[in-house]
Amino acid sequence: MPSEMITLQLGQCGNQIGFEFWKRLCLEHGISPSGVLEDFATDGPDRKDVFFYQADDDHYIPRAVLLDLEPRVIHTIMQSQYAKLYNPENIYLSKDGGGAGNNWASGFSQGEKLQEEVFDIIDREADGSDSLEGFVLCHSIAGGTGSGMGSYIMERLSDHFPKKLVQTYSVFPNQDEISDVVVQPYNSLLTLRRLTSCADCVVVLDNTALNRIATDRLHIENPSFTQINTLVSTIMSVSTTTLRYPSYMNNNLIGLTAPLIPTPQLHFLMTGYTPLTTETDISNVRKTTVLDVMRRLLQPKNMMVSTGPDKTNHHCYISILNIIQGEVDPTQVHKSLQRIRERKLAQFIPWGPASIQVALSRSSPYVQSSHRVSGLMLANHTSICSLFERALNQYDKLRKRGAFLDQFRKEEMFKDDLHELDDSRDIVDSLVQEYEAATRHDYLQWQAKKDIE
Amino acid sequence: MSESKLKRKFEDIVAKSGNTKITGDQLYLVFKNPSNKYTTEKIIQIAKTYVKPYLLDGDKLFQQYETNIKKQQMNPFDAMSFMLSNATVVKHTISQHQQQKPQIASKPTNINIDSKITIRSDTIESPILCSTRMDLNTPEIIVSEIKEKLAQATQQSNHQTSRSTSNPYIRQSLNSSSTLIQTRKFVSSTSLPTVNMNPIPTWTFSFSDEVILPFQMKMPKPIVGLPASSQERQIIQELLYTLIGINGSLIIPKLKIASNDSKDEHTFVNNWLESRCIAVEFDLNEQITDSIKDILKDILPLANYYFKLQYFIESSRTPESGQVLQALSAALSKLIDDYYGSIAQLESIHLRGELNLHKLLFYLRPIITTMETITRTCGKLQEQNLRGGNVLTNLHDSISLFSGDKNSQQILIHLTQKAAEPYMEILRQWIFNGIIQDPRGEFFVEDSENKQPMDKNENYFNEFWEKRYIILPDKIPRFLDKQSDMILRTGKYLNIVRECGKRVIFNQRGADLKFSHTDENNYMNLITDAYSFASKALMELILKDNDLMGHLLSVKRYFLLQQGDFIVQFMEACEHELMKSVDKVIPMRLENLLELTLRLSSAKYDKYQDNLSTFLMPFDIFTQMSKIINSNNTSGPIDEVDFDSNLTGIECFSFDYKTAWPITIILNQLTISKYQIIFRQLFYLKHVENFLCRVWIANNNAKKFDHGTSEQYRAAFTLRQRMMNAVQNLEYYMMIEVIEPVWHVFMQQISKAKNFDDILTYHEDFLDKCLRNCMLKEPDVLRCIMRMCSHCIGFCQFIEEAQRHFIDAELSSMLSKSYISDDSSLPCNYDQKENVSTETFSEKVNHYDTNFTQQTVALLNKIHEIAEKNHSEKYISLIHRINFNHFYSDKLNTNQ
Repeated sequence: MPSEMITLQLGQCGNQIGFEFWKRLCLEHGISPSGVLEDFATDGPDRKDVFFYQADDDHYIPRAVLLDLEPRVIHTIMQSQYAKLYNPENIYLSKDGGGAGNNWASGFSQGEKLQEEVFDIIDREADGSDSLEGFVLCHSIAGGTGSGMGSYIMERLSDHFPKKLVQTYSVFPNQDEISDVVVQPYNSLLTLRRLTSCADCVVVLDNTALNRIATDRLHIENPSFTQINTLVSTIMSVSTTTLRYPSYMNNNLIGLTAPLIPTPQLHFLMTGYTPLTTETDISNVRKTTVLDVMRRLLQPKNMMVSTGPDKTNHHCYISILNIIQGEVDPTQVHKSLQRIRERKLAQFIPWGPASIQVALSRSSPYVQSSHRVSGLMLANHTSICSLFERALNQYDKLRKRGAFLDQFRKEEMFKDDLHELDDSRDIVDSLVQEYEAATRHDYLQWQAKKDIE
Repeated sequence: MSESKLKRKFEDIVAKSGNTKITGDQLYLVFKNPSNKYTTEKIIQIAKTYVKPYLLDGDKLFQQYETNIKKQQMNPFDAMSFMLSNATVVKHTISQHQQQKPQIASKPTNINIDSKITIRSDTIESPILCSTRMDLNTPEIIVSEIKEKLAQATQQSNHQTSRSTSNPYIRQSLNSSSTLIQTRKFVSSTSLPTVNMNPIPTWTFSFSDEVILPFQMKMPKPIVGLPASSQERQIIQELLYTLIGINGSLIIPKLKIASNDSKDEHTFVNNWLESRCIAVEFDLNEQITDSIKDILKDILPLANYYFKLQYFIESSRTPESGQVLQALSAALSKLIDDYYGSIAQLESIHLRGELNLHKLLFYLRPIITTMETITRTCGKLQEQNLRGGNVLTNLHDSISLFSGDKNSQQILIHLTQKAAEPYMEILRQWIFNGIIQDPRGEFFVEDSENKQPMDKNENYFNEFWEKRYIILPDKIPRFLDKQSDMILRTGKYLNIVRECGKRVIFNQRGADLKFSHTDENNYMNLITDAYSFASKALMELILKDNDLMGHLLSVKRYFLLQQGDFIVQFMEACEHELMKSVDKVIPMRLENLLELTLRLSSAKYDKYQDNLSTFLMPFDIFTQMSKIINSNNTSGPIDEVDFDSNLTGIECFSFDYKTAWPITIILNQLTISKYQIIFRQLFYLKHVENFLCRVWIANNNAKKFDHGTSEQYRAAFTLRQRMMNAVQNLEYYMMIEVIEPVWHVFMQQISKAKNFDDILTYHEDFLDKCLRNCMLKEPDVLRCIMRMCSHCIGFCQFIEEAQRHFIDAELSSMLSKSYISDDSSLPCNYDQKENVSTETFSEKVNHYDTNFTQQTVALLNKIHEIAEKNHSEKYISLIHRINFNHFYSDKLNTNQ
């Protein structure tokens, strides 16, 4: 089977969203929590083998590797009804179990130490698949394990499997609340550097936006992790739906991501989803058309990334892919595109051709959705750089004061000097510049300016 | 009443009563009572028990019988004789009295001269030809008897026609009273060549002097001296003979060939064989007084009609004339029998001395009209040498032509009905069983297989639908004109169902497929019923038993690339093989790879995967397309031409899909080749996309580069992206905007399709729309697309090559130093290296860029051109897709 994906779940956040993701996939493919195919799902047209493989007794096992440095989340998973789903050999818990203490450097160096054991698991998984297409990494960029160990593994993966894709679902911290992790700006910046140079495609899941959507749109006052993670798992599952329910186009991860990412470093994608649950009453008023879905997807309030107000209004789409599920009239697609084009509902880059691609995808027959039509947008938008700018600003604030650096200095990497931090800042800064440049005509001739401090 | 007649009557009564103890003769003797053995009362008693119940209207007759004996002092035997002479023997009348009534009324017995002309509404028989004006004293029994015998005789004589017996066939004389019939003679045509072709019936006028008639007519008596009344009597006698085709001495028949002036005997004997329009004229003896001559001139055309009809009947009997004409002539013979009956009745009136010429003319008038109508109609048939359906058309037309003359019309309707019987039988066989039983080639549907049996190869299936059964428009009877298409399809459908080995049982509900002039709905409804039955049976067979939709979905999955993951997997497996020049590709390997992929991919769930095979076309997509467009028929086997070695495997590669009967009717070679065209285009685009993706992932190494370095490659990256954009938009356009919506419409149509032809048409439409909207029918656009694609491939190959030299070199040098290592000196290191070597690289990229832009713009312009011409099509949306953000706008000819 081609285009298999191995999912790597790292740290508390990564394992939590991974857990929700697998729960969702099992539901959509009709696989019971213990991995047995339900009777009603035996002859579905879906491809379960992209994310699952079958054991000798034919039950389905996720191609998932669960990694954590502290046992709490994984223990919760192992006590849930999904415990039997996972291959126990693929669950790796650090023996000392002390965690990374929300420290990137600790996570990174532990990753280095544990690399043999971890890559044993990954290699075994990779060997077990016929033609591996790539890796999906779930993690947060702010903590210790997900960011630090994740960064290390990303570096190693791109060396180890140079022809394989590395896609990440990276959770960005919530900016609306003050984090109890004081070194979060350092962690973020250091992870961002790896995301820039080691990942092929990063799907940005911005906790700020997710929380806002949960409170404003779904009217949940204090959204729990599970509630947020359900949103995340929806996005993850829909964005892989063209792989799992193949149709004309976008049947492998490359085909899905390559058209979205024109130049190697502009690979941070944002997502949008509609309808968010409370919109039921709207969709009941009239038939939801493709145009309705596409128009809603272009509204910032449905985006899972909070980019902040675009004051100069110069940001634009580099590329858009809309995955639309449900009962839509396929004859409507080109009319909708036409309408959007005529009304200039979306702004595109000036330096190359760009358009909205629409993939009409089947959805799982086993999951009853209250919405007849739903849509997910995967977009490469230049305004994503505001997220990185924010991270840079926060980093700069801490760095100027030299605060909390002692924790980093404990680790091998930062013992002598802190140039790793400075390098990372440079790379993230040029990333921001590149995104800014991508809004302009002369992007092709653009050269990054280096701040020399 | 004569003795023999009476005896027969009694015999009849005994036979009808079923009594075996007594015979007719015994009964006769009882009533004759020669030795006064029985008393009158006893005789009446016997008459009551043995005779009365078997007489029609027995009660009344018996009552009269009794009164006759008792009050009028009639001899009981005479009374009986009187009663019987008026009576009709029936099986048992008492209980059936009422039901019998309409039949009695319709029979020509006891009808007064002034009674109205009634048309016999007899359920089984033809409208009688005889005039109902006659006061007939001839009892019905005799008439029917005569008719019966006559029928027998004519039948026998029919067998005689071509036999050249030297002995004259003397018709067995009937022991009935008609002397006329007794004297009818049947002469074998010794003087005429015994040819099958249209002999003049031997029982009509004899035109040859050499024939010695066995019953030579009495020599003409000089009639000059006779008083008018005696003359008239003799002439009537002879006239009656003449009317049934017996030569007389006062009225001499003369053969006349229409449009032939030759009076020479020999030439016309030779000519009438060829001519179809012959007639008889009569020379009247000069001694006949003028007044009588005038009347004769009115009556004699009847003899001509009779002659012509006989001639027609005879010439229509040959096997070559076909069933319709044969049936028609059979019906006409029946009419002639009636005609004989009428003449016989007239004769009996004549024998009683109650007939004069005026009366005769009066009686004959309606017969003449009717006979004229029939003769004229038949003459038309003969003149135009019509057969089969055309005969029916002609008859049908004349029905409406004679709508003023009810009697004639009635007879024509009857004739048409009879003539249509064998035709309707053929029709019935065809629409109920799908069989053509048409030995004489009269039916308007023709099975071309009978003409030249086709071998059951591919072509057979291709052409089956179009060519196996065809309508011959000039053979359609007019009354079936509107239904002809429906009829053709009905049988065609049934045939397919039968060819699939399914039994066709159509519940006919005992309905007879009969032509009816007044009630068209009768057969129309049956045809419609049969059609809907056949249509339903076939739809069920195709859609349910043979799962057409499953096949179509399967074809869509592979040929229209809907099963994207399978295509991707297959392409990955065989791309290496297909990148070679086509003459180096090993077809066997492709086949194996396909099999492997089918088994490993999600296609393994498809139950029709075995139908799929690989196929290498020896020509490119243009050639195939132009073959389809030009000839609209690629059914001919693909010539074994050498592969053009300029083509790569991927350009020639296609799938093939084998289906079994009856799906082949829909997925025949022509339709599959249309699918193949779409497939080849999509597959090629997919290949380009795949290649671009491969380059993309290789290029992604550049993400590790310093921003300054990657700038040099940005031009290449964005060019790659533009190519990707164009190729993907082409694919999206074809798949999402053309194929999927058209398919969607096609599915909706299929769900509403009423018959099989609908499905065929819808499918054809579907393919046609796909081909047209995918611009495969526009060679210019197609060429632009292909040129653009090969340019993309060229670029990809260049980048792959370059990557090995530049990017990988750079990467390895980067990897040799770790990130942490001091990199201050490195950038200038690359820069120096790159600056030297990328000189040509960026130049080349520039070159590719300019070319690509040119080609894209050319393509867009071309599309714009054809979009101008066809506003209804979707082409314009492809321009909008590729140029969504107006990137190419300023380069296009026209600003949109």
